[in-house]
Amino acid sequence: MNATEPDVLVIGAGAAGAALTWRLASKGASVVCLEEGDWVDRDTIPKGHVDWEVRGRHYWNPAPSIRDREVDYAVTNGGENPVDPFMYSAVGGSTIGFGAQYWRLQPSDFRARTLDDFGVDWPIAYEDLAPYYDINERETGVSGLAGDPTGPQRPAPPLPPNAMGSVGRRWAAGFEKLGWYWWPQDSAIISRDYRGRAACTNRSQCAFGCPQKALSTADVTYWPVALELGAELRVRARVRRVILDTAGRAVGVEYYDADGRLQEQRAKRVVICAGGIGTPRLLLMSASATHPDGLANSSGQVGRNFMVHCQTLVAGRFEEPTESYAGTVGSMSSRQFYETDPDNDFVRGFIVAGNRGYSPLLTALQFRLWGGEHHEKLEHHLNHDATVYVCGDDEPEEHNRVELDHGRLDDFGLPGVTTSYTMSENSRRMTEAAIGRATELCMAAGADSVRDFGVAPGFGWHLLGTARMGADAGASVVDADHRAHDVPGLYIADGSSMPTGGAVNPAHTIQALALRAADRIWEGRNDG
Amino acid sequence: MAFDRTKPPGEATLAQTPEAAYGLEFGKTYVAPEDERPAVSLNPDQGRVLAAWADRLIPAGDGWPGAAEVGAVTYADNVASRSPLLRAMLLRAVDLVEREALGRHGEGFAGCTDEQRAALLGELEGDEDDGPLFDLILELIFEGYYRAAPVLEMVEKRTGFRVMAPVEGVEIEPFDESLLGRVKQLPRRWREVAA
Repeated sequence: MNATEPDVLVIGAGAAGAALTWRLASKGASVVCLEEGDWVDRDTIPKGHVDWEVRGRHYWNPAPSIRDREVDYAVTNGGENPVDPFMYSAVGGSTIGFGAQYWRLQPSDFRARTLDDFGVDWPIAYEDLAPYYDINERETGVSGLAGDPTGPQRPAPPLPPNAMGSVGRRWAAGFEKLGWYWWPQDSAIISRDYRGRAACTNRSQCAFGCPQKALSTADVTYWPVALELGAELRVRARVRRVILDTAGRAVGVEYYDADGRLQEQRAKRVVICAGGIGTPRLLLMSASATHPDGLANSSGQVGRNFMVHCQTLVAGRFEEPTESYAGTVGSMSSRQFYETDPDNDFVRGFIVAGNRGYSPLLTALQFRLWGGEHHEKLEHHLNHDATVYVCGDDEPEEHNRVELDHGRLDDFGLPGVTTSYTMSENSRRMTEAAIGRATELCMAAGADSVRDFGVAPGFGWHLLGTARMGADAGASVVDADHRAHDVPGLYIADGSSMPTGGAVNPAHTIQALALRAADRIWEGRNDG
Repeated sequence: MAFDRTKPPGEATLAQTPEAAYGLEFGKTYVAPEDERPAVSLNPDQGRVLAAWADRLIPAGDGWPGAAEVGAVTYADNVASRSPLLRAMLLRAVDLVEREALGRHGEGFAGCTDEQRAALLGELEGDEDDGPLFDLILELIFEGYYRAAPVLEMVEKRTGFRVMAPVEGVEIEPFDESLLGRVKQLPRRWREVAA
């Protein structure tokens, strides 16, 4: 092995990059990973402090344009329904602030075009990904229960379901009253001690960080093992472009190191795992005379088909306390409405997930009620609200896209990003229906009032589809093995690879894709 | 542009001016409790105006402390002082309500009646141009209030929200698999697809 030229160079140390690096390293590959962020200083995790709510609104804010650290680049959002991308530049990537809801896609998600004339089919099937879901559940420590009749059979997750609390029992009662299918939520939050990490103690509000590492962020799951296996991780490494050789093969990248000096790293293969926004940004920044519209973009699909899921929240208010200070994000969830129903005025479907309640400051800011009624309103809602999260299958559309923003540069003069998103009519109808079902659930569970966050609240928690995989090189960026159609030696594996998004939180699928991509890369290591 | 999260929940909207996008400054303005200092940007007169403003936003009553007495004004001053934009907005907001109070009532804002103060703030809140000034002050005062120890004590006492649970953890009811008795008997519900 050439010490300066590893087998694989990975860009991005988030959910995908961590899983892919670990998998390759475990097979004996030499891997270098470049991450623009740094390790999270665990002393700064908000929930290690009494004022965690305030910290979460300031330096821990999930919006990069608000954090505005030197490792962040600006993201400006437009379109008729602008979204607010939540993303972290850090070891662990956006898992740093995630809720760890670990769903598998359904078999039908891979064939939405064939079945429902929706989006595009995937070039792989559920069966291709299932073994990697199994691996990911073991490696991240998923808590859940086998036997859900709304999905294919699978091995039991390594850990039992997380504690449900009174609100979990409440949602279960609601589902039962309605006669819907439901199941305890699979979470990458360890319900028992697991591989040296201490079990969840129900601190709630997972997005504000988990000081005890029960939340399976990629920096505490895959990375420690990958580093033990010999993988090298360089932090504060800001990649500015992918390098090609004279034959047009990807052979490395140029990046600015932690001291701001330009460096070059070469490798036999380059894998971009920078997420639904970071990946198209790097491809577009890598434009050259031979790739004037951006690297791997002969299809014109780089940055297009930006999907964010049809997401919103419905909040019920209950007379009995809801223990909103405790528990994992999710509790009980339903795929009753997941598949296309010909009686609907939309195709595809959504989940209905019973979650927890809000915290004091957030409750006060939501109502913004000032003056004499402030305390009364707070007392009425705080610890009496519980939310229902709905997530639906968003349509991939070319006009929804990510582009470079040369008007807002990062600290190295590299362009920021603009996103543009306009919700399709199908997505709008689906979300309206989902709000209706979530409202039904709240009432069945005993709510005395219900409010919702609208059809398009702009939640940018899931950033998908912007360098999608496909069999047709004219309509996709990478093939079924994550190889760029246009550029030998270049691979892409992350949320941007997903041709459609399904109707569930995508972190589990993103990591399963990355694990599978690692195997394909390793199996093809002797190919050209 | 940034998201204007100061409006009630609903369709996402974008802030159209730098002041309306003040939230973009928040990432760099955190002040730890141990780092708080006496007023940085506000002179004593301005401090009195903001204290009256804060107590109109969150007044004392029914056992709850008012915003000013728990240090929300110092907090707002300290946070705003970490950003040129926020500092300018804070000072403009305070001077604006003071000027309006004097012009309309011949009294400084702090000397106005509760009703007069509420009316002035209500007008500012609804003002198309200067509304963001009100929004910023509200957010900062709310933040300062809900991190103050006496307030957190009252939160727990009056709502049952255990404020230390997110920091220290808490036991809750474990999952009860017997609840799934009906669902386990239901037929399969997902579409099988040829691979």
